[in-house]
Amino acid sequence: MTQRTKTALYWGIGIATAFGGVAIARWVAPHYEGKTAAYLAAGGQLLALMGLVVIAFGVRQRVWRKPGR
Amino acid sequence: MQLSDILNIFQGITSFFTESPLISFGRLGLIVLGALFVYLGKKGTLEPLLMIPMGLGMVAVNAGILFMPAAMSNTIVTGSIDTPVQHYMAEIDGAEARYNAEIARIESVVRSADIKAAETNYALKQRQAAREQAMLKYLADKGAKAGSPEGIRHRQELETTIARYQADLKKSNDSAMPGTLFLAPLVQQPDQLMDIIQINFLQPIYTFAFGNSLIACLVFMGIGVLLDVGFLLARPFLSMFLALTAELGTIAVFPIGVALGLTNGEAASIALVGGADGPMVLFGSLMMAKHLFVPITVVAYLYLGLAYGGYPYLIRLLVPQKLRAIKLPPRPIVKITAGEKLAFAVVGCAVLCLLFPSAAPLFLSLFLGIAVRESGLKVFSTLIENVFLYGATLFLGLLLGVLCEASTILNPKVVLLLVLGILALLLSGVGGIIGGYIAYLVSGRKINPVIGIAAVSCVPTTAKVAQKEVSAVNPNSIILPEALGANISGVITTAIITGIYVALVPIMH
Repeated sequence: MTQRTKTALYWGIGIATAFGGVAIARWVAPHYEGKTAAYLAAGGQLLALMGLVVIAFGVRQRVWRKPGR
Repeated sequence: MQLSDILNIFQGITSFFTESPLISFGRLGLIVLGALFVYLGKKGTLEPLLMIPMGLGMVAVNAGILFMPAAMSNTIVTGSIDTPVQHYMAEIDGAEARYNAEIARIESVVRSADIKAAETNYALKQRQAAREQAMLKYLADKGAKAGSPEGIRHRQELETTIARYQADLKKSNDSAMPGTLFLAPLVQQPDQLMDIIQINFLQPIYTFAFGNSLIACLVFMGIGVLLDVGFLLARPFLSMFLALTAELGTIAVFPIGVALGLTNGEAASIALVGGADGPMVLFGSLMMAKHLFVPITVVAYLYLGLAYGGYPYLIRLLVPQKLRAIKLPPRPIVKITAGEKLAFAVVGCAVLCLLFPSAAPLFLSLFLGIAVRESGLKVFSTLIENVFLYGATLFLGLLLGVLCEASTILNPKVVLLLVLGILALLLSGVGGIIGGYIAYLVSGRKINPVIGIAAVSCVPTTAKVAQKEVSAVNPNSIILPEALGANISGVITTAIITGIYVALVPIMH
């Protein structure tokens, strides 16, 4: 896998995770009530923030890769 | 000419003797404190950009008190009543007039005394029912039920507000109401607001830029232009981890505040001081505790000014010299492209706005600054950095100073806010250093734990403090890039926590 593809993959997975988290927190959670809704909302928000972390890791692995690889 | 006429010329001095001793001494104390802020700002102990306009504003507003003409003070008194209270008073006045007329009619008709008594009794009961109805409507407007503790609190607050309103109105009709020509922060009714905008010179800026958080957003936009998210992207795990640990004060002070008797909104607003971001505290307190936003924001900015002087001592106390001298491993040569940073800003802004719409103005401002910087729009960068950021800082300082009137600041809760504010900032600093120690241990003793303090936001002050402390013991150790990464992450984390508080506080019971 080339470096370009690898970076693109991180971005793709990160964006999908982030917006998936948003969908769970803002769209799925309101359809439930009580604890289920609270857990879904919290989980969705966490997932969305994880998506941003995945993107940041994608950039990081490119920046910190060993020379010549 | 009598003595009273001469005294009337110097109303600023005369008002010292007509107000309550507490307010008069408070005014004197705030004048001295304002002068001290100007001095400490000039000396560099406190942030001069903020403290010089703020200090001078405090001096002027507490010295420039006059007795307002009846028309002006009436505008302020009637305009300061909030809409549900105004509706309640209108309904009570209407019911009073209606049933008083009914009782007068009953009295005027020739009939037996028994029938008259029964009819009068019925009218009195009807009047009481109308009053109860008005109260229920008021409580419904406030979102409270009649018998609940919340309802009882709102009922008591309403009675106090009406009593104060009537006392102020009487004072105002006697032209004995003290006030200033700077601004009237409590006026909110549109008609009176339009009148007062034409009298008070700072009122337009307060109404159109401060009360709606525009100034906070402009400062945040300026911070965005100064940020380089590349530092965060280069070490995402370290930056985000440290930023989370450095929110210890922001999270821990909230339950402490509630336990000490603050409402959820007040406790959350003062806890945000732990995030060490002035605009965020201003935004959060305007959203959650508008009645206390002046003391909370003043406390926040005062402590943020002191952080520059206080955090070095915290670092020296918690991190031994040997660990402060640690040199970080070599950094990669590859640079992060502007395109990557811009794309991250766009995705980050979209995700955070979707998650926390109540803090969307802050996110937009921050990421707009970053986007302008990374797009290379020099004209906009210059405009935001040189005009918006410094213009907003000048008016922020001036308005905060002018809002420090003795009657506003002498709130019994202020002492509690002072204690909780410093506790929040202290806990966040300690949390950041604990995070730094964890990173030091996990990395095999390669990471300098001092970096942790930089995660307490306050861009770029804490990063500079961290580098300064490290350079003092080892001039060859450069931690600034990592510290700035943690610093930027701290801003984003604080904005997220602000969004969570703003969203959760209204639905908390």
